[in-house]
Amino acid sequence: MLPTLFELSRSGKRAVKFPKAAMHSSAKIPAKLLRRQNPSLPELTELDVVRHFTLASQMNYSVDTQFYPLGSCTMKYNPKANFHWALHPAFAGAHPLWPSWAVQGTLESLAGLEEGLAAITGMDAVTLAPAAGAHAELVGILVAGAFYQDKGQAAKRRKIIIPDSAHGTNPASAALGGFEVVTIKSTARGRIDVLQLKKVLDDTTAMVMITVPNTLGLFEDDVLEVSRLAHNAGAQMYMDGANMNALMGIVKPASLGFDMMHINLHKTFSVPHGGGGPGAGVLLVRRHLEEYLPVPRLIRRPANQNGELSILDAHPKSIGRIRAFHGSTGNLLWAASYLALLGRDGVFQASRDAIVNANYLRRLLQDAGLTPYSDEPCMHEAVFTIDPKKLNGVRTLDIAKRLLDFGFYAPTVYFPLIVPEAMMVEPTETESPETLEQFANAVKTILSEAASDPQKVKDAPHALPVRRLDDVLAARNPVVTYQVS
Amino acid sequence: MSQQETLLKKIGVKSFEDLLPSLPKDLLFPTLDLPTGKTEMELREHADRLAGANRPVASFMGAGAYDHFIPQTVWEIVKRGEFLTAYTPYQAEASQGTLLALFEFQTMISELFGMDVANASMYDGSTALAEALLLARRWHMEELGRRARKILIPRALHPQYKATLSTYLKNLDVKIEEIPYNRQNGRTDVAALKTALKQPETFAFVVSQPNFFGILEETDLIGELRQQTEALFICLVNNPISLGILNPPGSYNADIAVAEGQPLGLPLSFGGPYVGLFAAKNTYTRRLPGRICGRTVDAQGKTGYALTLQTREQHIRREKATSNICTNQTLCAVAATIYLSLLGPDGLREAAELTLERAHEIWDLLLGSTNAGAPTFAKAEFFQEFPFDLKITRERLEAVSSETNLIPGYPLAHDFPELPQALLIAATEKTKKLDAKRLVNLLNGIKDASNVIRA
Repeated sequence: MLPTLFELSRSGKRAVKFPKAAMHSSAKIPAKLLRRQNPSLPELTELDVVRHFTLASQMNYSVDTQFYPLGSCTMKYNPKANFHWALHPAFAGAHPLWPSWAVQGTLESLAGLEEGLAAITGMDAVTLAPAAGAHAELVGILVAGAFYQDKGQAAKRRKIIIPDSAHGTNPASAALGGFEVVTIKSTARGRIDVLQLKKVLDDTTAMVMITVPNTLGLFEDDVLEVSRLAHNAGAQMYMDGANMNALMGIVKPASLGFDMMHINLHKTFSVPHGGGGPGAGVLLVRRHLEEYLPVPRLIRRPANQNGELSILDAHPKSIGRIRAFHGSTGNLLWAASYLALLGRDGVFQASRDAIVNANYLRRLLQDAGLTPYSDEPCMHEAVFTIDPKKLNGVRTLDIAKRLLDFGFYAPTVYFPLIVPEAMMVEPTETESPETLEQFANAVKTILSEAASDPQKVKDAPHALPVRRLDDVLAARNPVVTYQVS
Repeated sequence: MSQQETLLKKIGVKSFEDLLPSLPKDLLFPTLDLPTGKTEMELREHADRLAGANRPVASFMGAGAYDHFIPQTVWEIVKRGEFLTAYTPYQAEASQGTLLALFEFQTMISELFGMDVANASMYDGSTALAEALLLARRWHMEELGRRARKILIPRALHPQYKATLSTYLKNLDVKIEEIPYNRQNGRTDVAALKTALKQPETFAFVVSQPNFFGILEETDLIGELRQQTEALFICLVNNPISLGILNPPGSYNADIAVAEGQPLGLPLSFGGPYVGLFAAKNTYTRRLPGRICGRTVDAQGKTGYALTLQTREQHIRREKATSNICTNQTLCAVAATIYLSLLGPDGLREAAELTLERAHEIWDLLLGSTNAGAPTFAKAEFFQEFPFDLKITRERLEAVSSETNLIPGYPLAHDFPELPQALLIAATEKTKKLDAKRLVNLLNGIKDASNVIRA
């Protein structure tokens, strides 16, 4: 392991200097407020810093260096062409509180993204403010709350229905929004149980929240019936759009009866994942929910008043602000650029290729010896299960760790929670058939190792900077900072 | 045979539609009202045209986001594909670079704030503050077994942070009470805060240092109040660069310290992505929201890093999680870590001192001018920004500002109707003396061709 920056630090070293201020802080700040002791930040040269972080980066797997089949995360390649727009100094330098006359280019970029996302989903209105998918869920839940407040039904509609295959953020967001979560079990086919839904759905339901395709990589074939039932009960239909990469140009969520949905732009729209963020969520709604969306919002003046874009800072029915400023504009530009690059045919082709790739990989992995959760074709990802009893006690986690030795990142494991020893594989459209074949070969090799030398698999990884890490120790005795002094 | 056809054949289906048996046939393949795709060359032209529609301006806008100097090294490293295109380090063994950087980030933020622990970052400063209040609420209800119904915030808190708090707390039965500020010096009224803290069911009080007006609060006196109350003291550090010279929140008893980390190497980017900083006393470690990186050992006893304390999080606890957050701002946290390691303690102090000096130069220029107006708070003590009561009307100011491409600051009248003429003016170490003169000319109503900023 590399030493930390604190261990590399030597007193008096420095990379960046500023011109000296002529006056001393104590001339302007009362002595009792002045810092008495410097913070123990490391003291390093620029080369120390560059070398440390370059070496650190080389300990990461990433899409630029490895196949990253992390299910539900849509780790597609992020085209370098998008850097130009996303990092352009004219956009990067814009202050969020500047008046709209100074930032028409930024606002036009964002308006183009809003229009494009609305076209793909069939939704009517968009807020680009949420910082991530979970943030957008919370906003959607608050929007539904405000809608029912306005209709005089807020006290009654306290319940949000969520299937047990959902992402953990769905129930967590519902709880944070002040709602009661009702979980319904999935059917043996991995779909929403309509009979059970009917039992819990009533006029106390605010929302039915479902993921399409669901986390098993399957399309909810009863979705039109679910929408009909929810709407008859007066509830809103929310779509978790984490898996939107399966639907562009395939089907519009609005046509399935959804009243609102979010999209994780860092998944489907190729904003680089950044090692775990920053993400960018977007919430899209049908017309009846538009006036409850958070502020600020983007407004286009009519063409006879120069057609310029401006910022709407307040609206009486809006849920208000969900963060200090507009949104993660830097990331939104990345998505705007990706959308412009792909265009109408490109987004459809992306989804189509993602589905074909997933089914090809599903077939290859089945041939390699994994058991698919479902017999049906999958959408953009597939879930597999294994039986450790038949593999000398080798578990999904062991296979995941061993894959790292073969130069592949691991699939998502132990999710969805309803599948034992789950392994969720999402290849995305940007991987070649050859890469998928190499990955399947690695899985095949690992499964034969499980028969011949199971300990080798259980002890994996062997070829990485560290061997298997002790998560239990980390949690039992948390060391979350380096003890500098 | 095309590659698609070959793959379909290998999958064992005749056509792509055969892969979609569950989808409603009549809704398949809708037309999309989108332009056709662009080549990279066309894309660049398009982006450049839009970039040209943003105006080149000189700006004195601060109000929670600041144009500080970003060393070249920061983004040269951040743009490396290994940081940029990795994801959440669920497989820790293949993510040691990101995890090491997060461990260093947590350490630096703890040191900077004088606190015991920090998490791996939040969405931004405003949501970090909201999450701090949610933590305080749960602490009171679950650890202390008390009812938690009220928080105290300064009237002089960032208005957009106030708005965010009220959205987050809307459905949780929490009252928000404002503590007034002193009209002479702009500081929060500590005596009023002391009285308000005696109210039952108050679970937290927030203080911003400096406050939204840029004014330095008496954090020493405020910190003493914590000893007489069960309410948690949450300190919002308005700009972490100020901690190069200002006392850290840990030194005055704060339970939790949060900040907008944007000034630490992140561009303004019209509001994001930014990075929320979140630090706390040890007591709260197991209740922190968001991701945390911890040091551990591998199977052979070697040091390594992993995400830890995940049982707090939504993917395990679902509706009982400490937060719904499933992400952090890793890349921004990495940028901040690189920024702080390049500056070190002395660089950070220099940046803070120079910022302080630039802001006071503008103050002196304005006070020495004849027609600009007068300071909103005659006895202001400030770090990098201050409010100034203008003579020029709001309408006139907006018109001249747009004519000259000079954005003079943030007008306070909308959020603080009691300060109808006040403009919040900010500086950083980057503020140019020529621009400061232009600002003073503009506020004095002097029209001059040299005052117009051009591309």
